[in-house]
Amino acid sequence: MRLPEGLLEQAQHLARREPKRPKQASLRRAISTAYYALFHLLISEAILSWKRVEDRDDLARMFEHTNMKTVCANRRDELNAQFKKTKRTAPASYDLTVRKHLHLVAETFVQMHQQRENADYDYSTTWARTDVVAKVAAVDAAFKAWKAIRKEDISQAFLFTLLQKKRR
Amino acid sequence: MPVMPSGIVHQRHVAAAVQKAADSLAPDVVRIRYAVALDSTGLAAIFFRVLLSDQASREDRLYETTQRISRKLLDIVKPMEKFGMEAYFNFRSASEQAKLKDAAWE
Repeated sequence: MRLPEGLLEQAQHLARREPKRPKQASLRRAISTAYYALFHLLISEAILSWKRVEDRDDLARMFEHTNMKTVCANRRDELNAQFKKTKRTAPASYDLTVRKHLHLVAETFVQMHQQRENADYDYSTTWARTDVVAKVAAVDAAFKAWKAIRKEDISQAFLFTLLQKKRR
Repeated sequence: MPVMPSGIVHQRHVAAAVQKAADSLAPDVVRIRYAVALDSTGLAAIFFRVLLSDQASREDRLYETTQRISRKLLDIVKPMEKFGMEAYFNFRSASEQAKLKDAAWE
């Protein structure tokens, strides 16, 4: 099992530990682990496009959390603008389905980046299992969406942009 | 004519829009609370706290339910388009809140 899938499985396990009285430690680690599952999924996919296999591990270290979040937010907003222009009556196309999957991946990354920050550092919030299960399920859905579109040009271009340093 | 700080005007608009969203999402949504604060990137953001009915919190429909509610809130409140704010969502069930008695969710 690859690291991203292993992390997602671990998040699912943590979210359901202690069925009656979930520990905050388990819930917080589930959120954090689910975020890292998605983070590593995107990086592990991105580095596959680098031809020199021996450089891929170093390339993986060049991705930065906040940059990735900004890129994802910008991509999501661009896709939202495109969806608005698409006529509501337009028939569903494969291209639209691909864009919706990419939107789900980008939006989930934006959400989970913030949730991971809260789970790891914010003492003021108390986590509830309902929230954690929903968020881990969202990451699971993002994994499935990504696997459906990973070879598309738009997806590969998205991976490349994750290295960019852009402001919102 | 009194000049109202834009932040207060925004707060009023946000409050009205959030209430409208909550009304349209009943009975799945019991109530929605929110806070405007800086997010992890240092930008102003709106953090929604959505209290779900226990029925809506059933695990077999939880993902779809939370996605639908998030979309509806974004459609009605339009935090990015109208206020330039990112939106984040947290959920809990009515029975979880009854145990936790968290003032921020009341």
